[in-house]
Amino acid sequence: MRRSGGGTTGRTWPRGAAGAVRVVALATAVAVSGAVGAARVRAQAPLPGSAPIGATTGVTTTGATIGAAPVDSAAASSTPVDEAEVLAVARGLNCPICQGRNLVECPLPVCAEMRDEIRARLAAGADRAAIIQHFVDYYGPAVRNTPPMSGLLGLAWWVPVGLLVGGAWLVARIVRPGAGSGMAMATGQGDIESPYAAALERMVADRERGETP
Amino acid sequence: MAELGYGSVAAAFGAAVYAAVASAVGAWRGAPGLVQSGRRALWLSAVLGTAAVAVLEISLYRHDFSIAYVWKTSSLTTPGLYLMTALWGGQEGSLLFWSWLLGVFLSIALARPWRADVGLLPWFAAVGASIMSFFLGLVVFQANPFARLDVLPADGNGLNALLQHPGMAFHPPMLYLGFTGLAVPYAFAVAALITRRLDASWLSASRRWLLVAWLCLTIGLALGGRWAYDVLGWGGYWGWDPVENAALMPWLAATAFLHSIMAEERRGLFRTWNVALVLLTFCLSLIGTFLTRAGLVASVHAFAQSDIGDSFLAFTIVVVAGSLALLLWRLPLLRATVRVESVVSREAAFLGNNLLFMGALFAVFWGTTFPIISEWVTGQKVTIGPAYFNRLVLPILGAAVLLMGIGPLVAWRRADARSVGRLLARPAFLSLALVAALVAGGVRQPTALAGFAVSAFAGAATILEIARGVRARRRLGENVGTAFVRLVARNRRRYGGYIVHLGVVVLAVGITGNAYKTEAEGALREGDVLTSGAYALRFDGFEQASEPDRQIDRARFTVLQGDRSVGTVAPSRQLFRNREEQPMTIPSVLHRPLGDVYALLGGFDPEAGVVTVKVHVNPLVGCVWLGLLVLALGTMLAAWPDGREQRVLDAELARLLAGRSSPRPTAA
Repeated sequence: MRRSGGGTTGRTWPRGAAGAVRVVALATAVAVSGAVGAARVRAQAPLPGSAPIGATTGVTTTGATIGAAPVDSAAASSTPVDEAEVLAVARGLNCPICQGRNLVECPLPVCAEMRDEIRARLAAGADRAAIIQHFVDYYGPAVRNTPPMSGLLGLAWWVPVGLLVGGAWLVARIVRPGAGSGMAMATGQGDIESPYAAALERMVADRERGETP
Repeated sequence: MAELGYGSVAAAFGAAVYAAVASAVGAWRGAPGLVQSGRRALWLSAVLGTAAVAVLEISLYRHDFSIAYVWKTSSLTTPGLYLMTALWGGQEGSLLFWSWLLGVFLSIALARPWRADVGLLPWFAAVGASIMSFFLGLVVFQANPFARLDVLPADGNGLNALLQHPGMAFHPPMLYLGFTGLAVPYAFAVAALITRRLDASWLSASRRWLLVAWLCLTIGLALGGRWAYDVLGWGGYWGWDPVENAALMPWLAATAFLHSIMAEERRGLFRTWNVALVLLTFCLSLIGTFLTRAGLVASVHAFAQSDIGDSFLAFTIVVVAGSLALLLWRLPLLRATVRVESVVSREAAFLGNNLLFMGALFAVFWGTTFPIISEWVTGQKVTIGPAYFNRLVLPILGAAVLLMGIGPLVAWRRADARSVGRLLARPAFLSLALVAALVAGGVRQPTALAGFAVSAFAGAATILEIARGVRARRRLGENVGTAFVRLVARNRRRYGGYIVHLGVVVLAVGITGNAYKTEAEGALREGDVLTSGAYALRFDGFEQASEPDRQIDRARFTVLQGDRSVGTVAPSRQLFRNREEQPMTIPSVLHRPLGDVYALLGGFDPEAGVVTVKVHVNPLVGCVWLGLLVLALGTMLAAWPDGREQRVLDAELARLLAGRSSPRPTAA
């Protein structure tokens, strides 16, 4: 705004900088509304939302029965549970005791028990989201090691994405060609690749001019 | 002895404060005598800092346990190398070391002849000395490494055993070299903003400092990754830990700057942006240090937390706010004289590069600080783990690798899209052929295929670009070897840059290989076999050894590929004296051409005859180290002084910024 005098010339950085403010505002707005929208979708959909909870409670009982015989569950690794799926779920959950290690990396017995529980729940037919929700209910949201994509915590994902999109829009504005005045200049000679070549050309030109008179 | 050291630091602090004040007042009033005395005071401060570092090192080697820091970080059995590195093994020593490095760097920068930069350098000295005063002040008032203990202990506590690794010996100093190196371009940029001398001189003075600082950061990050891989035992080299992110953020900003600066040198573009990037880079190194050191963000390797948080926060706020205010104040002076004319141009490619690096930087920043923000705002504790960063940051950096293949082929100003397309046809074809071959060979993961495709494309494009240069020289009658060497030697920045790009390609291949890591865990008796991926481990027996400073329990395994033995691994558990409560499990790695077999001890029970072992197979991890090595060598090549090139570029930039908006002379 202080630079109103520059408005007549082409798209230069300061004008871009003024645009940057707008872009940041836009991106934030996009991200916030996206997250709020996602949260509302969740709030408006009680039926699908409650189904996993029901499933979770259903599984808890079976999980408890299997958990009562941990030796069996450890020995009976031949049950048709995909070990890769167990690891995938375990990798998404943090050890509740040590900071920043997931259930696969952590050597503590608690984590081994949690892995066994994941296996048991998978064997009982629970899906990944329901198992994660169970642990979140029990240990709090910090047990997940990636935030959910929706809700307020979804801002963790959407703000950087929004800014990247906003930045791309800004870049596109800066390089938008053919805003009138630049055309004549652009249709010039071929490009000079190396700074040497450029400097050399100039030197030769200077010398020729100096020697001819 | 301790008094001598503390006296030196205190005097160094005094000299630095004087240097800051004298330089600033001298520059303000235009008093050359005062400026000159400030410059000498800064040198004196660096000399005194050197003395303090020497005193602390001597105390470490003489096992002077009356000094708390020596007692805390070393012991009678600490090996010699780690006595030296104990200097940065704790908070107080690190800060002293940091201040000292900064003093040395500023002294070197100030030793250059004061011809053209005479207006810039007094303010440079003032800014540099102020930063130095802050760090020396921390050492003097809050984190004194020379503090005495009331009683004289017989032996020291010993350096944290985790830190006794060659990678860790040189990882912190490389990072500190990088961070303090960043302070030099920062001080130049601030001086240029204050003096309004935003011409070529600040850029030419700071560009090599930034490249060298970037190199040190890269090496520091590489060594840190190697240390994590060799010591921490989770089978990886990068865990997106806050401490790692703190060091990565300035690296990303500096990488963006190293690219966009070329657009300013050649075309006078992006001037505001480049100044902002230099300021941002240094601010990020402070913010990162604050975040991790003040214990705000939980980290697995928070080795040196302390109560310097408040001072550091205040300093960081002053620097960030001051930089921002200065930039806004001088914004009218920073207008570019030319503009980006076409989407298909080198300028546009650099803009794209900056967009991607800023995007990656923000994602890292956001992911690192989100848990704090979330707890403030909602009271909910959340964790943001590696999966978040892998999903968000790796695609952005993958796009940057793709652009890396295209950008160098696009001419400045306005390139012919069809000729660029012709140049890219072969790399694109090669990359598609590779994908087809990989799919036929059983590689199905989309992320892995994308990673390999992008790497192959960028690698082929870069190699073909180098080959074009070699072919052009061969027409002059040179053989391939001479042509290549002369090509690189005559144009070091450009071809050094291409070698860096090739290093990035190799690194990207290594990172992509991560998608195919496998792991297995099992309890084995002698002769039992545990399989993971293409390899299997056979347990051969227990081994126990005693060394002066530690007790080592080791399990020996033969690594089998099919039925064939391809080597051995011997993961161990080490119990350091004085730190018995903290046994360390040290992994053992067998390096194979296509990947590592990485074994870690879980349980060790010779009486029952059972050992628990975890084995990771990490495909292509060797490419990570190789790529980083190539990258470092290419950077050295590009950073090596080349007077001719420097003069040409400086002249060109000066001409561009002199206001002649026409990018080429029309006289000829």
